[in-house]
Amino acid sequence: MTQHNNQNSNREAHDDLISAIQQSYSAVTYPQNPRSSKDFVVVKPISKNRAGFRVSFALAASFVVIATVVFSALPGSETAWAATPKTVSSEESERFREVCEAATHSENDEEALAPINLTPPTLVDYRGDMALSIFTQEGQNAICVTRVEGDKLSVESLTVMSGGQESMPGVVAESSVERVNGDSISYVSGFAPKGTTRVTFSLTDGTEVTASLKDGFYVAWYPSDKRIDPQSVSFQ
Amino acid sequence: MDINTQKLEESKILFEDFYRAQRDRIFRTVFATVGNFHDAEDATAEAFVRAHAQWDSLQTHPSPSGWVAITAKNIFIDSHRKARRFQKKMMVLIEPEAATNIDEGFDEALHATISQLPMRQREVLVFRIILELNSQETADTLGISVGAVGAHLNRALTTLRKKYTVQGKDLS
Repeated sequence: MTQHNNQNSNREAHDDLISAIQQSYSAVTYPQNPRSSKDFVVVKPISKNRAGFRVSFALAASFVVIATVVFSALPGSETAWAATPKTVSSEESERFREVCEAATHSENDEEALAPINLTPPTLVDYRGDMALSIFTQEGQNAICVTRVEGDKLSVESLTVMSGGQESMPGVVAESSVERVNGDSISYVSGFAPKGTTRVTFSLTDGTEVTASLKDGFYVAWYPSDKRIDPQSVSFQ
Repeated sequence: MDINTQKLEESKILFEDFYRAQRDRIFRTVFATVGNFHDAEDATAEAFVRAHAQWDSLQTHPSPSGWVAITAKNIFIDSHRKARRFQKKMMVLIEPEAATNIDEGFDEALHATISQLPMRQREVLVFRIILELNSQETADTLGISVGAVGAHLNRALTTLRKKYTVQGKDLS
């Protein structure tokens, strides 16, 4: 009883401080998702392999975008897309790196983007006739969208970002990046739980998509008129 | 609607009620515990995902909101371990951008001072004062005795008052 009374009197002695703490933190609110009216999408746990999901810009929003450059389109070209990614060899990966790096050194482009030297891509998601390459290197990160037509590679957009932090393993981040003609493509990316060998999800039209996965990092792009079904993400 | 579907729907409704009622308070608690706004945001979201996945059993927990807050803190600690490994591997620079969901009344100096408290004192402080758990709920959630809760809270407040006064804030 004495101890209890002492605790109460100690607490009363700090009433002003406690009020100050409560008042200060009442100014903080849980962030509302900028893209959805729901700030947290509740999903039914379907199986242990199904991931929790929250629609968010977790990856993109935690980076500061320095610049996005949208390059010229090939006239009349429609984007082809496939649910399964192509295997990218180290030689192809190097070609994507070269063409993306060269795009930042282009003297013809009037957009302001300082030339950068890119290290080999962390991951390339190549499906249909487009490849989305993600570069992560000290101080800067880049997302490069490249169209492939036969042997010809042309960069459609390049976004360079600074800073940022990874999203939680198992939490899927949906983002988008600009491409030609004011269009954009969407992509999901993130870190898979340890031991994952395959990441799949469904689009709202029912198409099942397999993401590209390497060293626990995954990414998959899809046309921006499609949306991911939040209940379908599966790490296997 | 079969009985399982009905149960799932009821469970979902209860979880959503819990989420909407507690999200701000839990987020403030996690923010005060981990110090960084965006780390708190990610960890809180992930903790809510886990809470939903085991909502049926979590409803019998002495303090579901305390469970979510402590889970978020553990997620934060785990993610920082991974982030350090990731930084070495991928060379990604971690540099959180400025918080956007903080209004004018927020006292940055007070927050900084709380962030310097030892973790256990900080946990007890934010669980009791921001999450507004009672001593027993705090003790159950943190796995310590009620007496230890009182002792940690007293030390935290005493330290906070000294450091906060040193910074020129006279609360009296």
